Amino acid sequence: MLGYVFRRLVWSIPTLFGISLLAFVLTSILPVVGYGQDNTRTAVGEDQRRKLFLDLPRFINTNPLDARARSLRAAHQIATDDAPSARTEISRVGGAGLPHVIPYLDQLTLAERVRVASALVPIALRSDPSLHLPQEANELPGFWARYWDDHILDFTPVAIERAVKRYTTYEGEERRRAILAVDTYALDAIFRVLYETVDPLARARLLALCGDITGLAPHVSEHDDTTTVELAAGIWREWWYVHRSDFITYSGTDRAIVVVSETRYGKWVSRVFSGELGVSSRDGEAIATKLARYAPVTLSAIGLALLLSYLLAVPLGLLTAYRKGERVDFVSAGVLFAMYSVPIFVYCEFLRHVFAGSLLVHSGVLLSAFAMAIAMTALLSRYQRASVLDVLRQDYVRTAVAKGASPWRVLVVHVLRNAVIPTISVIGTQFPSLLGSAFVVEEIFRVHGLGYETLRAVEAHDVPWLVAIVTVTALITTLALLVSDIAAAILNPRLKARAIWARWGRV
Amino acid sequence: MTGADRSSVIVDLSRRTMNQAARLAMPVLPYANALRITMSQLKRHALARAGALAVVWLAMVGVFADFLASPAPLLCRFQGHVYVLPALTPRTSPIRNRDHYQVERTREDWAIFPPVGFGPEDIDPKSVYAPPLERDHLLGTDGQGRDVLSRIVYGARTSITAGFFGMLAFAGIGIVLGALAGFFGGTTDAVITRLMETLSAIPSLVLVLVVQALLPQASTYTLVLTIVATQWTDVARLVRAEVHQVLAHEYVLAARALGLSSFRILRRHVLPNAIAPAVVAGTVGVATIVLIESSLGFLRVGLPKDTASWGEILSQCRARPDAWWLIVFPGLCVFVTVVSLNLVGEALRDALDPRLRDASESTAPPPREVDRESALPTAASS
Repeated sequence: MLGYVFRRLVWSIPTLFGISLLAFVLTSILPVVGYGQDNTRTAVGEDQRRKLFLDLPRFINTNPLDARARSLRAAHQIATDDAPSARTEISRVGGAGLPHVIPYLDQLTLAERVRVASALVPIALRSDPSLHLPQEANELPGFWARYWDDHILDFTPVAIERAVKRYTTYEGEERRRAILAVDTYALDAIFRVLYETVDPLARARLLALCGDITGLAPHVSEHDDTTTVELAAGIWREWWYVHRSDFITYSGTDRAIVVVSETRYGKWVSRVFSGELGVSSRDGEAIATKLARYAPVTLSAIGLALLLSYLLAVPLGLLTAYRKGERVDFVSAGVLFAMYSVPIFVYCEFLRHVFAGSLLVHSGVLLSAFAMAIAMTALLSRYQRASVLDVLRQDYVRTAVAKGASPWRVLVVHVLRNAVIPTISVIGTQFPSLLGSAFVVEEIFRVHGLGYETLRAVEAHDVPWLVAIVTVTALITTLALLVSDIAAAILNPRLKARAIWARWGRV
Repeated sequence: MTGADRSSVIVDLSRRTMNQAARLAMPVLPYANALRITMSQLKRHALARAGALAVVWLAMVGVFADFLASPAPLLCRFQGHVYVLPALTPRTSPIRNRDHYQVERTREDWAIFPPVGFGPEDIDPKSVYAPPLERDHLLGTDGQGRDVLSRIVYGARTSITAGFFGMLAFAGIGIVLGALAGFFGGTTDAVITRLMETLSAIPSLVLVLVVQALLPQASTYTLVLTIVATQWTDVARLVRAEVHQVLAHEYVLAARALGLSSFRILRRHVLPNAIAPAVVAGTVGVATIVLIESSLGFLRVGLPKDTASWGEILSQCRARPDAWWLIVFPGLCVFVTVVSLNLVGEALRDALDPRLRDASESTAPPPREVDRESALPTAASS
């Protein structure tokens, strides 16, 4: 048994991989992603592109851009044609690039050196406002050489990590300034410490530091309440996830790993696996939090619907199979067939009219479960009837009848257990359509579940949520398939290892 | 004559006779072909026949929607000239609508108008939410004053074309991929099966919703394409299972022994016998597409604005709960379509899919399920 479960789990790995690939393709193929409504690239669009990792290659990144590559490229550009965009870039990368840019200065001619050194001035001003900068531009290279001699020991991972930890524990203006002095070089350590810190005050301090260093919103102060801080923490974490590579330098084995991980697919997968599904663009809330809030509603409605329909369908299937060809069978077949064919939203409108004004309307989950159960019952009882008929034909049933067992005993003891197995394995295959109908039903009854939220996301063009919902529903379905397979195997020891083949091998 | 010569002659002879034999002896057909089965089932089942008729009728309504609902006449003589189908050439047409014709007509003029005098997007501002039979609106009007009957007629076009073309596409893809997976096995099978498993794990409605919402120009075509992307897996799965079963027959072995190429065996001997279950899946698939299309219309997501859709009409009753005609008529249309397709599918399934057939009815001993479970490409049929 355990072996089967294990095998089944292993078999679902390729499926998971396929789902990840598909959702990824969805993000990267859709032309609208990263563009404005009118399909033109805008400044916001560029930022959006970065957020969706569209600046990265799809699967293999032979030339990953880290702080070193970015700042050196910018410095080279400044040296050759003094591009303003390169100046912004070098100042944005900031302190993280200094360990590479300052040695690079020695390779340049005097004029180029002066240009690059002047481009670095914003970093110096940011890191320490009290710094005395030389008046003459010609003296700037000399200034930077001295600066580097003074500060080279601050620009080491150990030193900065220690500084950040001390600031987290003891605070103090001096310690804060020590961190600001290395500018963006501190970000990596700050975020690493941030993940380990639970104290809300210390978190707020660290986040405030991020705002000071990068000059980006949201700004946090120690006086903010916890929810504001946590909301900001989510946004900052997302920002760091996207921009981390700008402020760290790959070395050693990292360089080999980033070839795969610093790609669109790598970013996407690692994000999904760490439970980070990004931030909803509609209200800035983390998608994982939203999912945790809405998924239980939808899943409980579906679970309730399944429970209800099994409670109805199993006895009904038993009855109609036992009374095969009689009036009961005939009438119920017709009714069930009609029930199966009515679109779900028609049911819902009907239910809404019937229960208008009564208390039930306020309990949307119950009503939506009821609506979903109707169509499900029709389907399941058909399967149940067929499998009961199949079992009734077996020799052991004939034996039981010949021994004089009562019809009840035959049906419940001998037939039911064997007949219910195929009906249970049907859930797995029916789960996708059940989820789909849940989406429609929730919209009608205004149940705040996944479907309702998704439709609001559609209205607001909330791409991260929409992509996440495809992934999540696919994962849920895969899980449901897994559970139903294993449940069927537990009920039917004969099936065991063959279940997985049988599902594809037969209808 | 040397030994080698003799043996080559024997080989040659045997090949020739075998070829003749192969040409004469058609493969044993367990199913005849799909079309013949469909016809025979329709002949036998009255309900299925009714269903098929209803679907064909609705399809006709969709195809000829222009002639059924339009403000312009079908054929007319107007101010001395005869115009054929001015509705299709609105720019050169001198007649704008019935009122205009009545005012401007001369004594000799005559016109044949379509049964519904309104186009699907014609707004009648004076009658919003008009109940049936009011102001020439046979089935009333919706919240914008558009004729419900006219929109239902055009809605049939949207639904049925989506269903029909979608079915052609997913059945085609499903048959090809399912046959390849079943016939070649090995890596091909593994890849295609994984693909099927992956795609069938994604709820169609959710995927369609998301894709339609994300695409800059969502249209009925992209809708159909997205549905097809997930829907073909059902067909492929059935065909694959069926191919496995067919492969166990002796005539395939015979064809192999004759040295026919794989593709020829697949195309001539296996596929015609394995295609039948795809017909069932295709029929039910049309119903699925119609349902998804109307659900999207109902949610007002993803269809271009003003597209006539049954679901869209239905969704308007949420603003006016007492407007029963906005629920009943389009709801009935979806219901009839789905029921009809399911009835046809049911009748076909009776003939083709033993799993839901009443087992006690058939006296034939082989429960084919057993075959299927163990039907591997290499398994002998004994």
